[in-house]
Amino acid sequence: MARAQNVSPQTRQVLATLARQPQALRHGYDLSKETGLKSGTLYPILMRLKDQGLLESEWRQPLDPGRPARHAYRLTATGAALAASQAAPEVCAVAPSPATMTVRS
Amino acid sequence: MSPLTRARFADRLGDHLIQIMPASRADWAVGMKAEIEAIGDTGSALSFALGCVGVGYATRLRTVSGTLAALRWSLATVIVLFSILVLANAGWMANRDLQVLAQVLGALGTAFMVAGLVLARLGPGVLAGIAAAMLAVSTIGLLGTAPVGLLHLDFYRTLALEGCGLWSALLLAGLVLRHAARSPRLAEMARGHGWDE
Repeated sequence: MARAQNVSPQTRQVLATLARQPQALRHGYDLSKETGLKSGTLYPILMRLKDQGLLESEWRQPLDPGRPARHAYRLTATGAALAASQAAPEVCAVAPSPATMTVRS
Repeated sequence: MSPLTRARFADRLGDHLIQIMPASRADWAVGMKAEIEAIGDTGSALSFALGCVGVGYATRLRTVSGTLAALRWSLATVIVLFSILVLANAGWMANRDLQVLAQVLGALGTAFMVAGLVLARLGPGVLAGIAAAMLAVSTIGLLGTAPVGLLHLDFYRTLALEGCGLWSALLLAGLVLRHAARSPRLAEMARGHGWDE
């Protein structure tokens, strides 16, 4: 089981966004726009999720020729399980107190 | 800033990101650069690129070599700033017709300036060499001023004593930094703590 206790609000946001379309491969900029997280916050989260085996990435060829391949991401089964556990009602119903949360962005 | 300038700047930042990212995260840098290039709006691309460069530096700092480089440049900056202070003091002395004091402080300030620049440019090993030489000079100065009880020599003795302390500290810092850069044990420990390299 991944370290659910240490999931930061930003990581939770990324997990929730990716979990909305579990099979879809999402690009970094799209995730940034959808979560509202800046690239400086988003990428360390993606790196950590990947290191923990919660995220998989793939190089995707762009539709426009001449453009470089883009990195796209989706949750692994473990990542999807963590996202589901984070989205559970008891977690979402109560707003987390900043004092009790460990922010790991 | 025109859209073209923003686009160029974002592109340069993407290139810079690839240079600074540690090898173990190279694919992430390439992915971020491709993302920057894919963003249509140049303002957003620039903002995205700046964040990515921040990630690059933060990741770099989490490597042993990155941390040591940051320490080396920070120390070099402190030494150079200190040397400017000493040289300014020498100028102040010269204006008050204290020529000998001004010359001594000028020489010390120059030595510190050289030490700082050498540390930044050539590394901690050379700094340790310079610090050792200056420690010897300061020690000779300390011994030379010891038996004489003249008023002016008290100042030089204090200066020599301070020199011994400062150059000893720089010698130690140079040796520690040099040792750390070459230590396989430190690299192993860093890997054990999940640091990139």
